[in-house]
Amino acid sequence: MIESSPGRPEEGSATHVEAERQARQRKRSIAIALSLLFLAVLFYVVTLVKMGGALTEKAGS
Amino acid sequence: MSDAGFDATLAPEVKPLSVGGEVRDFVALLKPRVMSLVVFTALVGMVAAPGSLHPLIGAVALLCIAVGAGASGALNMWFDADIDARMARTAARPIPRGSVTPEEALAFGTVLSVISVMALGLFVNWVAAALLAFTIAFYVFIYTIWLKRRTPQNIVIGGAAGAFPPMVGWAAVTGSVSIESAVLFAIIFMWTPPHFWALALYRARDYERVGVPMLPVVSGLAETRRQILIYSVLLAVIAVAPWFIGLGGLAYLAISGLMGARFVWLAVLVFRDGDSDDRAADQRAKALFVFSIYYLFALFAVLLLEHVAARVAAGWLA
Repeated sequence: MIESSPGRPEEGSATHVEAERQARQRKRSIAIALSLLFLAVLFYVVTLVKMGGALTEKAGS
Repeated sequence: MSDAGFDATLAPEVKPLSVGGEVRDFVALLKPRVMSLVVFTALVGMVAAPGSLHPLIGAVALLCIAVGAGASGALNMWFDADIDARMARTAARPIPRGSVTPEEALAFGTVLSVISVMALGLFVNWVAAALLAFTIAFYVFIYTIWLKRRTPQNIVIGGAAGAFPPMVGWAAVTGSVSIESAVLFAIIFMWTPPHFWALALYRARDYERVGVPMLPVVSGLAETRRQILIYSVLLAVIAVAPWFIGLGGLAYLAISGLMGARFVWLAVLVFRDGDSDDRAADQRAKALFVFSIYYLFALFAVLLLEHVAARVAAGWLA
């Protein structure tokens, strides 16, 4: 007879499904947070590059 | 209370308990393999274009084009989920498998489309952004929603969506559209029908079952093979055009000529099968399909190498 280990919800049970849903939701949230962070850094760096280019052009004229 | 008046069609649909998609399911929605070809052809468009971009801005442009292409893939999977579920080749995609809901795919694709177009416009230029927006709209509305289930010419017209990336890459550098970028467009445009019809020849039953009017289903195998041969000849001719307009060098001319001849020869072998649907005929169609991938990759790889070499020689990387 297979006994489920104490504290670990049985596979397929509502508790197990809910735990799995929360784990996946957490991973998705982390992925979204990292994407937003990447976008913020990208906007910052690209702005610096563009401003640098504009300043160089101004200095050259 | 009696069940006599119960109408099963009005009952809410009972769905299995969903735990939501994993991050990799959302990555799969972006069709990474298609995305890689888009990125590659867009890169060639950027490198072949006259002028230069700051490397970071160039990388951002490629990222935007990749994300835009991926977004249109997600929107395609959202709309085609019903037929994807019934075709062997697509049944394991995230929506038919139940790991991502259609609503999630729609939201994901829409958000990424908007972000990629806006970022390309703000960071690079608005001509490239407008072309990217047009590409996404063309793939989703013209190909996926309008043509795919209505006409056997779906691949011919819809193929334009896959042909735009080098044009977007070119526009990212120059801010305009030119004859050279139009030639790159034309090569992919002419390549798409023989490529997909070769696949459709040995997947015809799949398409027939789900009611997608691919050419072999509507016009038969012999007519499809005839069309493949016609488009292959046109492709082989157009593919040498870059040499005549100075976009490609002698290496390009040699590779394009040799591989174009091989492409046409494989198309002739397929054509000679007529109405046959035996295993050997399928193998010849498969051989053409596989070769077509190498062919397009080789043409663009040679263009890329020639232009990188020219830039190195001109001291661009010095």
